[in-house]
Amino acid sequence: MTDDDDAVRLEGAYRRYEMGDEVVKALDGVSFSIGKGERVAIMGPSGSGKSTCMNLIGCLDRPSEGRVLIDGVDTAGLADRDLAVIRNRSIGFVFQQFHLLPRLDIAKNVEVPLLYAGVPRRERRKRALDALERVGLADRARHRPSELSGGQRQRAAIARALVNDPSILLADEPTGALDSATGRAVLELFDDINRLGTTVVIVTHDPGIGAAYPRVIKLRDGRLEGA
Amino acid sequence: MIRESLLMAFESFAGNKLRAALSLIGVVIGVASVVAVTALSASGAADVRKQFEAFGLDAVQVFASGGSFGQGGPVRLDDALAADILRSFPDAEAVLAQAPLGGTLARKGETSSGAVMAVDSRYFSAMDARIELGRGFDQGDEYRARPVVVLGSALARELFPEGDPVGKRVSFTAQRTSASLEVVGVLAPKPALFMDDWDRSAYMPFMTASRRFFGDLEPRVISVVAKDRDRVVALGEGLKRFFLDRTGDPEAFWITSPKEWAEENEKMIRTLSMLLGGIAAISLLVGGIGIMNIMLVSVTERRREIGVRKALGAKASDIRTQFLVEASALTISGGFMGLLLGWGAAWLAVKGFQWEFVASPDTAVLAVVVSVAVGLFSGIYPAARAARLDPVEALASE
Repeated sequence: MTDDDDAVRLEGAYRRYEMGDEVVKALDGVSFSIGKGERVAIMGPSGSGKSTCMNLIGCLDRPSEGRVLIDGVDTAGLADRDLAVIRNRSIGFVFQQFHLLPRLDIAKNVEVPLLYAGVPRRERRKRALDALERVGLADRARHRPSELSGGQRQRAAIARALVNDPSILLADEPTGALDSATGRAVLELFDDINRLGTTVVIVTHDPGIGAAYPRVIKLRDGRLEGA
Repeated sequence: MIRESLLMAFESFAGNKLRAALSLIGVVIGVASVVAVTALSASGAADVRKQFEAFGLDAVQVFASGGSFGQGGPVRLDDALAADILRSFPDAEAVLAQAPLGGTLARKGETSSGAVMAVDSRYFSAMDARIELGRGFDQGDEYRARPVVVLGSALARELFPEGDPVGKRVSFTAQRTSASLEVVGVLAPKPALFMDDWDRSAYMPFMTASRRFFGDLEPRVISVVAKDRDRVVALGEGLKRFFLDRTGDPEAFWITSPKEWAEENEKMIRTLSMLLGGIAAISLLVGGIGIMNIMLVSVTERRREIGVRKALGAKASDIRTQFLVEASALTISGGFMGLLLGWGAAWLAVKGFQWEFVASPDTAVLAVVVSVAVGLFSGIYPAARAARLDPVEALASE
């Protein structure tokens, strides 16, 4: 069943929430796959299920029904601690609000995923500095997030997402809090990362980004549009 | 991971110094009071032991109430009774007679205020009274009823302000008889207990008093010396039964031993310190609840941080460890401050009481153990709540 070339594969994935007596179908039977090294935008208006879709791909959540496979591993049957390992090893998260930890300096922020991977301290520091180098922030390693501009913060967050060499870079509205020039720079950085083989999945409602991506998965009302 | 959690903990305190300090006060005061009570009671008990050891813990003293047993009572504290006691109690080594004497000591016409006691020649060694100058009494003094006297330290200074009185003479007047006594020794200073105001008394051999001044003097007090210090209290109990059998009147005598007093005092200190310790433990509990409260607030405030950490690969156990370490680091710092504060307070109090300060390492260990326990106790629930947070909800929170 599993296609070895798939980084992400949803098979009839449902996600239902119970809100009081009401059952909300956030995702209503969605199937698609994203190949390794692909560059994909998941789009849709708010309430379309794209955030739920991101949560499933990012292993922050499990489907109510159906299967979600990340690098060939079915997440539905995994324990919380195994999901944490997948998030740590296979997924690199980039958030709209950057979500850097304010009390840690940039290098320490970038080290966090390595900390949970059990990487020794010296190697953590080295790899964090390498990742910062990749995003052009090596000289800001000792700064606190509050001392950086929005674009720099997002690049720091990208360094953090890349530091553990994930197979999938998963970005949630990564340009939503940035001006358009800075946003463009971030998207170019994604392109560079993608060229080196990392699968890039962007979740966005911005049609401008969609137009620049070779493949767009469109969601509406919890289903694939046109399906 | 623990190391990293510790660093994270101190970074989080640094971001909220005032709050961390305020939430610590409870633990600091709690640990300080536990430490102070422990140190105070240890110092107090040590002081009681030291004091009573100075009194001589080997003897039981039997006092005849209201004068002598002989007056109206059927029992005389005489040689026959002494022999009877030694026969009845294998633990008893010697029975020594004492009697306070009327009469005054004077030198060069100056009358002293000191009391004069007639004692057995073995009395000083039995009561651990040290001779500082000259000598004590020997059996020759007893047999020959020599006119000799040993002075307490303060009395010696009063009568002989110029110094060394050994070999000099004082006059003793009693029962309209006056006699000159040779000073043969001076006692080292020794705290007063029961009838012995050691520093302000003069002592002469019992036989000297009996033959030269008072004629057939009857002892008012006998000291029964135990062979083994550990048997003193049991010996005292036995003597109570012995005298009750013979006098039939529990009011006719009073039996006590410094050892018994020491044990009662130590027991009292222990009871008191347990009571105070209980109160201290309550303040510690309150301190722990304060920490729990602040940790719960912290978990709520840092929901998004927890969500981010989970998204980056933190397992529930990582989050739990982080918050437990944070709570424990908080209480251990509090415990350390409390230890110093408690020792400081106890030290001041001990100085005030003129005791010797006893800071046992046990107290330090106690403070650390207690503060870790409080940290774990108060951190475990908030940490479990943090660990259980759903990453999606946690990330969405503000």
